[in-house]
Amino acid sequence: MTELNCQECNEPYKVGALYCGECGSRLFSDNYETLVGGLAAPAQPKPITEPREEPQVSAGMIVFLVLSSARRVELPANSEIHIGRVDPNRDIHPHLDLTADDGASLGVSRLHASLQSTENGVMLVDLGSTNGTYLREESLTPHEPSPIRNGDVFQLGHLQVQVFFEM
Amino acid sequence: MTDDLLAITIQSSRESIAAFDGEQLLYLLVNVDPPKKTTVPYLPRNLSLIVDCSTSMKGDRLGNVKHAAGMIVERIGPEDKISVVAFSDRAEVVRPSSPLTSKATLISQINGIRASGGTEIYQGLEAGYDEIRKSPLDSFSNHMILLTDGHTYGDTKDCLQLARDAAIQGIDISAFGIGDDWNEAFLDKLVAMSGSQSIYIEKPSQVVGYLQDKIRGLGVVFASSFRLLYDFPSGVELLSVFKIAPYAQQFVPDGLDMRLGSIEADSPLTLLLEFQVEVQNSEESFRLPVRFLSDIPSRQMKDYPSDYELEIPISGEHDPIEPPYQLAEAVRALNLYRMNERIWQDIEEGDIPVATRRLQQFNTRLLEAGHSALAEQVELETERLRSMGALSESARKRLKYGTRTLITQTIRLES
Repeated sequence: MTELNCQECNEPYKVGALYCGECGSRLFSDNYETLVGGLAAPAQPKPITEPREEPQVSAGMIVFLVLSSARRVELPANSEIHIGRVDPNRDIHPHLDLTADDGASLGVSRLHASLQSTENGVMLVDLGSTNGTYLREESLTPHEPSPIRNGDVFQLGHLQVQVFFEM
Repeated sequence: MTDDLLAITIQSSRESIAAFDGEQLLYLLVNVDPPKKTTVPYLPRNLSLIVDCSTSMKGDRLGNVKHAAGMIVERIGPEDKISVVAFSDRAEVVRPSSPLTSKATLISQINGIRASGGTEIYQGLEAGYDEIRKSPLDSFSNHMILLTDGHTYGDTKDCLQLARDAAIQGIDISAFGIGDDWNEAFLDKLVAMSGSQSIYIEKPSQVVGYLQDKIRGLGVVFASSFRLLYDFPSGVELLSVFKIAPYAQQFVPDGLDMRLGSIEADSPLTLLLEFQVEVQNSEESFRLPVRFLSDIPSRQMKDYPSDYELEIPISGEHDPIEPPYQLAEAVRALNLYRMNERIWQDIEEGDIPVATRRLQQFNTRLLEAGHSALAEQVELETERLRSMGALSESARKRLKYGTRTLITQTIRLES
């Protein structure tokens, strides 16, 4: 029987183990990091792209500006606005669809976040997205509403959106 | 190998196995693909919402549960049935199982729930179980959803027996634990009977989102009672099963067939299986049958088999191990989850210096894997452990459920 020990902590491990149970170090192929490099870079908050000039907002409407594509979308200020990417196969039709803004490759989930109008003001909620939602450079806890202000920029994965609404 | 109804694909951590005298590890990443939603008829839902209304739920907790329950009416179709049970140390059927004819009535029924008394989960489960069984179970997707914030006393065995009986009849149980004062080991066991999910809700304000998510997820069920048969050749032992998609949940093999919940149309099931194997020198290849059974309501099929036979060449020497990327990332996340479990074991045993050292190592590995938010949390807890010699229940739950979710993130690179 072959005796194997972790090179970092010297704990024994079984043939076929991929990570050391004691210290967590990788036990296979030294080339692994270069083989997979860049595949799973998680999203991080980015410095905010220069926001555009504040647009005119009609009463009862919310305006979204996608900063990378400069696309402007105006939606009725319903109690809840879903933000993500349309997927007809899964019957997912968010009100703000970011497919045209390269949402998929920028890490926007199908049901990524929502904007909710509540008694306490407008709230941004991450809906358990894969690559996270950021507001004022803070990562949002999934399903926990965070107050969002007129003119704030939020980030879905790697995509930034500025929002305007009447208070 | 694939079959007509559920396509099974398996990635293995090993391209070859050495003829090696002793136990070695093998990981399999199993993907089960159901057909497209458009081809599957809608299976009405039979839901029972079981709400803890013990004294500790007073205020924000019950308020948010009511708000959330009121919002799920938007997701209930005309063919679905819903019942609501409120329980403390006794249970009250607030709404008997019936189709939703008036949203206003359901909301006022839910709003009438008042908090008082202790927590006896069995009381609530039994009442919900009775309600759900009023419908012909084969014609529905059956789901009990438990929301609780406390420890149950003296009835855990009864709860687990009920969950076991329910699972056999095709009723799944999911559980939401609100706040910090509930027993996650117990809720994990409870939901494992049917292969469902337990969810940690740290703050009452999160209830609405998580419950909506859960109801949205109860989409069009294609296969129910999906189970892995514990039928492996001698020399093969299944050590652990981790459900990765559609949600993260760990299951502990006990030598019996393992229930893994329902499979919805358009929503693949992904599992990480960990085996310990002993390979015989005399064979040319190592064969491992992986067999599943499920019920397919739309075809009126019971015990529908989905089989896969894995074959790995046996080699005379130790070939380098180069596992597929997603499998390796899933195992890395599983290892992080286990590192966290060991830390809590050390703390329970009072071995604070070892726990502190392990927390530091854990923090490093989280950073390496790019999980900076969780790493930051671990750093904070390390400081707290060092200065106070103990950690809070909320830290325990936050890290446990935080590391559990990592495993799902490795697979859902694009969701």
